[in-house]
Amino acid sequence: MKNAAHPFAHLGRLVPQGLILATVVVSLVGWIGAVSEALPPAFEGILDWSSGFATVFLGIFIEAVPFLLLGTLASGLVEVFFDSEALARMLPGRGLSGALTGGLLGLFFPVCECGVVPLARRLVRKGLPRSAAVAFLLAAPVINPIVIASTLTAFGPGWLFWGRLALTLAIAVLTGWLFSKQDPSEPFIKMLPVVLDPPNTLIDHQGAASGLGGKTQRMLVIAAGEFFEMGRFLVMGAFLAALMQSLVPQPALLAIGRGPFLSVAVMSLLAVMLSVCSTVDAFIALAFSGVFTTGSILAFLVYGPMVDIKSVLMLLRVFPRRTVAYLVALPFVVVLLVCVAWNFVWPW
Amino acid sequence: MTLRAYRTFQTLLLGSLGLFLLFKVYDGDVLLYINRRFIFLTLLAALGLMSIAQALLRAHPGENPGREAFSTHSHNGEPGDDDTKSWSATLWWMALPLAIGLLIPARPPGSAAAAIRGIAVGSGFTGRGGRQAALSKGVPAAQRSVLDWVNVFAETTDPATLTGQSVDITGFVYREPDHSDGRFIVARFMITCCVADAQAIGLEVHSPDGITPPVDSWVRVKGQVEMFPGEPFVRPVVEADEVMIIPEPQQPYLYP
Repeated sequence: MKNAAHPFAHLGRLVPQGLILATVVVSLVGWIGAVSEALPPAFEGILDWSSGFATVFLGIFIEAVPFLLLGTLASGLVEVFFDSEALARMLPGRGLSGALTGGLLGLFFPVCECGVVPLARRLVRKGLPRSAAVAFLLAAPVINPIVIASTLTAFGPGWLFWGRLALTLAIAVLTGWLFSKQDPSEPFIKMLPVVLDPPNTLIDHQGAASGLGGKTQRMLVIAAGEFFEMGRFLVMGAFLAALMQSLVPQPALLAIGRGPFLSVAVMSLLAVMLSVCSTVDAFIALAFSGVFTTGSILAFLVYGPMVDIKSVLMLLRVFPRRTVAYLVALPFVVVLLVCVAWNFVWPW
Repeated sequence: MTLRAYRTFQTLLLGSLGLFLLFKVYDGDVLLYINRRFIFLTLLAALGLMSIAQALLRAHPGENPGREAFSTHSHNGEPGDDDTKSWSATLWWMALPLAIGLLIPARPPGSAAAAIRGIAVGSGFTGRGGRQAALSKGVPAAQRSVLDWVNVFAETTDPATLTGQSVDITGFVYREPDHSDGRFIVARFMITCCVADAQAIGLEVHSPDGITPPVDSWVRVKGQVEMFPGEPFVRPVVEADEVMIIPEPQQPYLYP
């Protein structure tokens, strides 16, 4: 029997189509502006807006591409060079120990929020328990050598530095542990797209993917597939983030978020909206440090790397919606509670 | 769409994206999108994309790798309609940055973006601090950028010591709705990571003859610092001796 169509299924098709159409319109308007000498003043305003939007969109994309590429290459590396059985012996157990190990796995795989999604999926397919995978997903964008160094440079070895690491790890481990309680029969990740299925990434029909050269080539082919699959959501995320940045007045947003509670909510929202890479977000948070409560800065530093517009779109590609809802909501609740409490305990 | 066609388009797009990034680095336009410290990463990404394109090119199966070439590992051996539609959508999406990058010339944000993002003027800037402010203080007054000045204003404990110091700054013209003739802000965007995190900072300028340059025009202003009473801080203002309209610099951002 054919399943009944989901009542909102058409929205899933309409939203991407609408975004594509909007992008085409923006491109055309920008192009007209670039080739036209004299335009009516009203039209020039639209051109300025579309040009500014396009610059922000490309800024996010160009900045994120190297990190996404790194994650997809790591994914290809795991698929081709890591033997499942050998990996299974090294992988952590389930439950709390698995979550803790997953939370620290970023120290060996320094990926940001773009690269972590394809890598986590590949590790799950190699046998990584869901508790470890969730903890890895949430923690790796912060608990990795690059981000630790950049946070240390920005804030020094103070409370915010240690607070960021500790709270990120705590949330990641807690969420990972909660996922270990999930019914094992419940699907954890979606089926791998057919083009990424290992047999379809063979170099040729003779199975030439042997030897270092062949394996490397196969790794690159897998990376290409992952790059396109996740890159699509990076483009959508960059588009939405640029749109929000071009339309939502930040002074108004920041003006309403001054108190110990609202400041945390606003800075978490801002982190999601800005969608900047976790490798440098500490320097951006630093610019807000004199204006906003310390708890809200901590929220920006912890929640932003876990959840932003582009990473949520990528997560939706890999995990069922319910799982993504938990991955977004659970960290937010904990961040809100801890950071608001932080504001009351250390109100400066 | 067959796997072969999908791989062919992937190869073309990867190669084109790699070349696009290389070209942006070569002509300097990449600096309008990202902080210069990421240029090296962009170059690596460009080379990586082209290497992957080359690997894909070599990986093309010699035989017809249409639907029959799919493994039986998933989807019952064939890509369904959903798969092929998804491939088309993916290709369209991945082509968009290229299309936008080629069609729309990069333009750094100006006063409209400053109004949306907010602008920190004079001592209203309270970020960075510490080492950054110390570095800015070490720069001779006449060589300080807008960023150096706002750092110095934000950190100084005795604003009176800054009164009368020479100023020589460049930036674009930004105006608040309540600015009278001859009052404007010389603004710059500073970026940490990419243009998405651009923050506008500026110094208020009083023009000697009451003439205000057009909004968004680039100017070089020479003058002296004066302090005006304000809440909660004193308000530093540049009393201009000279305001010159200049071409937009190739690198319009400042880096903290």
